[in-house]
Amino acid sequence: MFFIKELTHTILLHPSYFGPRMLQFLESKLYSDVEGTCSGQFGYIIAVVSMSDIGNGIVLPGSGQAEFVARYRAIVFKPFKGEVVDGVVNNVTKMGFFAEVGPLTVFVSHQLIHPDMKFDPNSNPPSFASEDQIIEKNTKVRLKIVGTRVDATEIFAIGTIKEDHLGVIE
Amino acid sequence: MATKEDQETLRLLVQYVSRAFYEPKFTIIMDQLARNPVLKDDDLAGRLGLQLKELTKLATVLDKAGLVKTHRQNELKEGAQRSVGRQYYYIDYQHFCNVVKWRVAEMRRIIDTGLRNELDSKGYVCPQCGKSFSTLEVDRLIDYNLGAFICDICRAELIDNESADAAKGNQDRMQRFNFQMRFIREGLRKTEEMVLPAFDVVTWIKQHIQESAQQRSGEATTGDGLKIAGSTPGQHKDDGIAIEMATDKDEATRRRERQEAAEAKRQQNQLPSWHLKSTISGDLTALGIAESARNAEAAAVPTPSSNEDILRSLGAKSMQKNAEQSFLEVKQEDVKPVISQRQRDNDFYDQYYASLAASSQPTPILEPSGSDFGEEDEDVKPSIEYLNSLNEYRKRSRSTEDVGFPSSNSGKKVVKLGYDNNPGPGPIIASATPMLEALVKGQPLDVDVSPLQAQDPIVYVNGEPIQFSTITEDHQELMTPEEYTSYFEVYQKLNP
Repeated sequence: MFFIKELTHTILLHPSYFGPRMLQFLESKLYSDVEGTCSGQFGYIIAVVSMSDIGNGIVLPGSGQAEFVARYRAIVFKPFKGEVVDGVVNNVTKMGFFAEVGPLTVFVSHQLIHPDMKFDPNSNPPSFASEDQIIEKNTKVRLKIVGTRVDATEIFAIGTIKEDHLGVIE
Repeated sequence: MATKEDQETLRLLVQYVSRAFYEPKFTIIMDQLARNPVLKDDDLAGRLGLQLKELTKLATVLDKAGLVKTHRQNELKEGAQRSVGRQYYYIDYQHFCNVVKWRVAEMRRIIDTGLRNELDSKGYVCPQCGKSFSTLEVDRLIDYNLGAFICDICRAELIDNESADAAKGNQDRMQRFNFQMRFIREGLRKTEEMVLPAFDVVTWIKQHIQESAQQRSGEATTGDGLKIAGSTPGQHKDDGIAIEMATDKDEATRRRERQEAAEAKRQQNQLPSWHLKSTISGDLTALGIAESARNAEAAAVPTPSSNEDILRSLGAKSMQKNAEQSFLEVKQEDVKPVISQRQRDNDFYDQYYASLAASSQPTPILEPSGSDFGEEDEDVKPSIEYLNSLNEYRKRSRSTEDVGFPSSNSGKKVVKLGYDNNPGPGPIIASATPMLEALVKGQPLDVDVSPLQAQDPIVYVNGEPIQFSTITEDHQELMTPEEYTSYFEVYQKLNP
């Protein structure tokens, strides 16, 4: 699920950047630092919407670097159990397939695929196929998240397509 | 209430449910409640052989489960100082079905989600080292080149963890659940089609249990509302107050009904006419005489009436008369249903009148009722003179006013009916007034039967009153046929 969240990030700025374009630099540094990262608490930080407060830089004694505690608003994505998401298949094995839901990787076990869809080891690329549907690499699927594993910097989820309205999206 | 079949279905459902999910104690309680609509706590405890306390404990469990409903009310026992909270247990079948339905659905849901979760947590196991992995760990185990999961210890390919002990029993759990619940599901399916009537326990208790309790305790006190003090809040007990219409059953009505029943019995027990009179000569037989004597006796006894109290002020003499009068009127009304019945049965009716005429004892009870019988009976109705002559020896003779009274009967009767049991003295006094006048005017005629007179009554000869003992053959020849008949009556009476 997507949220807009007020977050803080600490930026250490080398003294060589102190000068008239310091603010621009801080901004681009914030973007490059936080966008695309993942925290267990908030999920994936998709994009920074705005910087609300760059803070007063404090020069650290010893190193001469300035420390800015920037407050910003960002769009975050955190998967939840029971959530239905759309994804793209990127890897198919006989144990199931992996799908990418934005930054998140979801594994769908063959037990949670409808029994009609059988793994076809001879196809190239490998696929799960029924009479009228086929799941292979780059197939768009709609799936339901049935479990998540949230680490400090990583989220992994398993999903199912063994329910109504789930599976291949045409 | 539902049909017999429906009740049977519900009973079976209750029994299946209690047997499937409850201990024997509860099963027995449920069985008892399935057989009886409502059971009082001490009654149920007695049936189970349990202490009241134990029963309450068990019943609370069932109540909490929603299978049994409890109705509480405070009751005052006979002679007790404080009221005691009594509980009535019953099964509200509509609620019961809903509860069971929901519980079955909930069980199914839990099994279903359990089944799903089990699939999730089933995971993988290494066939070499036996290490098991959950499904959520697969992102670390996947080897994209092989397209398989690799054990992080021994590098063997993982297989599905089929033998996880949790998964074993769960495989067919849903199936077993469905199989074992088939009777309950069947029962629920049947109840779906029923229209279960709402069950008002308060009314039921009022009707059944308290009634029987009252019967047990003999004569009930008036209104049981006072016995139950502040029972269940919100439920207004109004059984203490009852609006009794004047037309409702009161003392007078009940008495009248008793008399009616007695009259009907008398009617039934009446001897047939061919027993009472000779079919050849038309004369009374010995049996007929005895019967008519009995009738006369019955008629002479004044019947107590509720009007008595009101009319007491009118004086002893008039009271007696009024009592008789009211009785007479009561009779008129009473006989009515019998009459309508009799009109259907003309044979019996004719016979009855024949016997009446034959017995020549038209009692004041029966005589006025003749006016109600319609035209067909007019011919049978004895004439006034005839009656006068017949009743000569009786308690009192008929004054003209007296005789005139039955003719005005119908009009008065309407009035009477209108105020049927009105205890107010108005109409009764109104009806009593002509009687009083009659009394005053007819005083000389209203002769009591003294022993002397009984031996020597007055007999009419061509309209002239003459002492019985002085009657000669000549007198007999002068008599009109009616007078002669009455004379013969008297003669027979005195010389049996």
